[in-house]
Amino acid sequence: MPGRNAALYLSLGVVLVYCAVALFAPVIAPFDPFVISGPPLAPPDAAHLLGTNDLAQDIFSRLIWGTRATLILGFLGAVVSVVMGTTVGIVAGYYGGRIDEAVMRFLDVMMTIPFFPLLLVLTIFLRPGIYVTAVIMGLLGGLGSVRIIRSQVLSLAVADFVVGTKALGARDGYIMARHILPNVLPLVGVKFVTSAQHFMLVGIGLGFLGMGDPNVVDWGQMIERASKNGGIVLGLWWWLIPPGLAVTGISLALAWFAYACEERINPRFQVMRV
Amino acid sequence: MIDRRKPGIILLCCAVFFLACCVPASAGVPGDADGDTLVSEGELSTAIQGYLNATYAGGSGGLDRAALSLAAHNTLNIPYGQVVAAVSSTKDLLQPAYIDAKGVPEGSLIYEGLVTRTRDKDHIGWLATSWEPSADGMTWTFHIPEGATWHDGEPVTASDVVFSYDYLKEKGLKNSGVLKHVTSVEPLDDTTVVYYCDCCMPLFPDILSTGPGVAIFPEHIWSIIENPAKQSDPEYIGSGPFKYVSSVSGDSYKMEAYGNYHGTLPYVDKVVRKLYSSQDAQILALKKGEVDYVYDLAPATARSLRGEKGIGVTQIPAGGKAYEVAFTCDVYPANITEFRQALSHAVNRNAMCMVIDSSATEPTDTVFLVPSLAGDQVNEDTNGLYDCDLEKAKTMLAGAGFTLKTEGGKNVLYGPDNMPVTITIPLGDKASINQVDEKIVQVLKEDWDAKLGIRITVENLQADSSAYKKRIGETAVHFDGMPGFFHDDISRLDNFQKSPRGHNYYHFDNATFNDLIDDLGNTMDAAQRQAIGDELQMILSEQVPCIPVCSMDSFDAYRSDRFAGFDALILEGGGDINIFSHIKPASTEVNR
Amino acid sequence: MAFGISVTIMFVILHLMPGDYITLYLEGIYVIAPPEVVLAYNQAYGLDRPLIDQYFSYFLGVLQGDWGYSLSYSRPVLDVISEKLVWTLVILLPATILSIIAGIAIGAYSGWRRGSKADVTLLNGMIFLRAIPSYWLALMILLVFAFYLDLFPLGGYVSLSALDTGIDLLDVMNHAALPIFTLFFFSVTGTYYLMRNSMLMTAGEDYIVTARAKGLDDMTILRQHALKNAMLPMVTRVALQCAGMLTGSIFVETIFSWPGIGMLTFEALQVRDLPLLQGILLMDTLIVIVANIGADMIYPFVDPRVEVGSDARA
Repeated sequence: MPGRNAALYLSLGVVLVYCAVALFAPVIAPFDPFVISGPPLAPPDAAHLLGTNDLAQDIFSRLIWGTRATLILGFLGAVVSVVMGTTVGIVAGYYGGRIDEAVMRFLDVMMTIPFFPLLLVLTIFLRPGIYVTAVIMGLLGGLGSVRIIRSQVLSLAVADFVVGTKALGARDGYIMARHILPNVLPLVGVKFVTSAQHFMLVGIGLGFLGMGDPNVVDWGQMIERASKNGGIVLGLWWWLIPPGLAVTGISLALAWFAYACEERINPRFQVMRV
Repeated sequence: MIDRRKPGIILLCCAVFFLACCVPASAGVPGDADGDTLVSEGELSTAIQGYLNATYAGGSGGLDRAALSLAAHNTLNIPYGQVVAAVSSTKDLLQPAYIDAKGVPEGSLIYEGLVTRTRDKDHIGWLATSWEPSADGMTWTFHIPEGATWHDGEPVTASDVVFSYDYLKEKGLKNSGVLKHVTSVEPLDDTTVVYYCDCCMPLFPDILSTGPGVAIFPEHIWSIIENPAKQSDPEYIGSGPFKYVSSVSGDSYKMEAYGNYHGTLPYVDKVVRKLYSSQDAQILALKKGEVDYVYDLAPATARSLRGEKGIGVTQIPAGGKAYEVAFTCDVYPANITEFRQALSHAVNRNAMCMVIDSSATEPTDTVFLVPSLAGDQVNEDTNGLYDCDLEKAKTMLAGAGFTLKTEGGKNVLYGPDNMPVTITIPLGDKASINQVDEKIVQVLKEDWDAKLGIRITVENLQADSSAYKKRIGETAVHFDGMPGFFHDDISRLDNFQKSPRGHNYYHFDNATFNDLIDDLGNTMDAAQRQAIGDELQMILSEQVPCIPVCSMDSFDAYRSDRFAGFDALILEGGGDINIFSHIKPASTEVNR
Repeated sequence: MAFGISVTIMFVILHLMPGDYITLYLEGIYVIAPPEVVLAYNQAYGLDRPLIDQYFSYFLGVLQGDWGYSLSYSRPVLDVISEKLVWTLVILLPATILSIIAGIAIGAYSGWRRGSKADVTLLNGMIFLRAIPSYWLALMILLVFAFYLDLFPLGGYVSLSALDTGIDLLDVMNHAALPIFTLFFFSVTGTYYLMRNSMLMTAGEDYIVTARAKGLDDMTILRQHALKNAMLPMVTRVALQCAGMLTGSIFVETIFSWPGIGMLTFEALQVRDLPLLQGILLMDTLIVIVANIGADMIYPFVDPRVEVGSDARA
């Protein structure tokens, strides 16, 4: 497919730009995202590129700062999910037998409990901050990764080089870390990116439903605020549209990045399903 | 009824015959020539003439058939057409479960209380036609009209009123708390009923009609309902101007004018309440014409509707809520009176009003009462005491044993215990309509947090009213957003009394104050009451259990091309019986 | 089994809750709950018995249809949920069926013509569609189609005429159109991916290569061989997608004011009605389980090699 490399680099570039924005938010944002920076509900002008919201906060600055929360939700969740998925997946796939059986049965059961409603109940119950939310999402979402990685490990465990190393008397831990892990790593990488995308959307969805952490700026809460405080009827597109576009941008970049990577590793893997 | 009026109409027809040609079709209510939204008999005959002329002459002009019929309905006060009001939560739809918390829904148009309240602190009869207190103010006699009937045709009698009170008490329903000073209710005869109280109750009608108001319901229906938490009356038999017709679960319900209503019949025939989950959806529906009336609008939204074709907006000065920063006076650091006094100089009312909406708010300079509502009951000596002056606040804090230090470029206030002062403010419940509480805290943070060094964290409990109610008793500061009319009379100052039933919202407990409130409760004389009121306000100004912020206007919007008369008599919540009884259809479009 | 575990989770959560919810519920009704009423409620709900006892009675209660009592509705949870379930199915079923058919058709075509211009366009389009946050898309669809173009109602499930004439099917479908359309958008991408991947695998199989070598017509191979085989793994996957649809319905129903389980979830969140939320979660789990069982039953019809009773998922 022509331009696949271009897609890869372009999407990677976009992700890096988002990361840079998150990192340098204090430098880029003209205002503190929490303070009163002018009259409320002001339209865009030179000082306020995207106007102000109903709390008189600068929308542009909030958009910039919101990148942080979004990336934390996505990437922290993905790290937790992938670490859990890889560890459990490798152990279950490598040892097989009863351990595998037990893990798989457990997964079968857990997978039938819908992820998002369960997340909602837990959020209500625990009132977590953004970090805990990311970890909970990672743990719940990691169940899917276990399956995928385990099935990959299953075929690796009987591969010649693994069987050979085992015959040489290597310890299980050594084999798992040195031989199996590197071989599943590309798959883990792709899974990481798709999970990150998924968790960002879910995390922002939580904000949109009003379940976000009020002491943090995130795009979901921005959309919620705009849609609940007259953003629609007053036609304040500069309040309603940019956070949505920002989410779409990062989500799209990650999706394309994952897709391009996936095609490189092995066109047959199906990791798009989250 | 029509027959009886016919001769008059015909006479008038002739009398104004020659005027017919020069009267143009009205832009408002069809047939209404002088713009008072009433179609008098004269105006109707003029319209009829115009219609006939146009028909015979084959020319145009005047009203068409349907509009003429509407004019006739308005003249004769025969209910016509349908008004659709938007509500924003399923709780505002008729729910059988409503009964278990409060008694029957008194704001529903279906059920009535004895009296209702107008915007200017006056009371008008609702089910009762008249009432009078005894000289000591401890007994109140109400007269209900003869011939009043429930929607199923049974007569409304004094024993229904007695039953309603007994039922609330017996089942321990929430509303019985409102009538805590009533010892018993006795019927004198079929249309007269007496409330006996254990103390002087000069404002008893007020208690019956506000927050949340006590409705009367039929004995013959409810006496067989044992457990109001599980059963209810599926027919919703009440005595109000509208009776229940039908409902679609979770979407809407419909009422129609009750033909045998004991009071003035409404002009509109049907009232529908339909659910729209967000205010934006309501406004879009209003613009599309799906809905005729929306209430409790945010100021900015209401302003955007002004000038919109066919839509009218009403702004009621101080008709919304009155907001204040409230202390919990037994929680550190708010338990230190000097701390509260210091902070009374750290509330920037003007900035708060600017963020909330400068054209819809009025900063409150008194200690509690809102001047535009309470009038001369405000103690002038207590006005302007809580000026915003951070330097003064700092000095007073230092005097109270607090130390302000600068650490790493940030101000940190240390308390007398040498620990940094932190305050958690729960957000939610009444003050969070249109996110006003967030706007207040936004300004507070800039002064208290950044400049005075008090760490403020916000706990968002907007969705969880039970958790909110629990938290406000545990945190030093919260926000109050009671409806404006809770700030309109010195009798409302009992808000700050520590009653035998437990804490007030402020955990404020001042012996002199408590006694004075008791005195006030036993005083009928206006001048004496005012003297006590002045003293009460003086105590508040010294003790500072709360710092008033502002009063807010309320906004409603309606289809002005279809209805006239929405501007009068609108109370908060839109549920007041007067609105839908007084509005008049102004277009044949309402006959859908 | 899964149901048992979710019941267990519910039980644990219920009992870790700060303050018991019976008191909370009673506080809603009474000024001060009379002690004898509290006692009666506690006995009725078995709160005075040992924990393990309570667990079993809760479990039994759930099996017998006693899912607790909703705080905000003051009605049994199962009552509230079953009333709303119908409305969720009204939009969920058509959206699912449409997305399966469309997803399979487009996915199969895309996978079969791998690398062609059509495939690349479709694939990129689907990636794009999938990347847009569903709630935001729903909001935009509502604004454009219901308000600016005025083609559909703004929300709700019936128009005012239902108050006089009762609920009319056509009227409901008119209201359901936009939610179904939006929900279809959310789920079609998933089916598309699965089908395309499945087709990619099948297209590489020996028998397809053989068929092509025999010079059979391309479309005939697709219809007679590839499609059938590529569809096999779809059956179970689509069932698992059900969970995703339920998530989508929370946003769609909230935005379009559709009175189903999704909006109920949102309302329960708003008032923190935990018993109701737990009931919803149980119901969601049940739906997924039923969908899975359904898939297991359908499987043998699609694939004659498998008999009912053997492990279809292996």
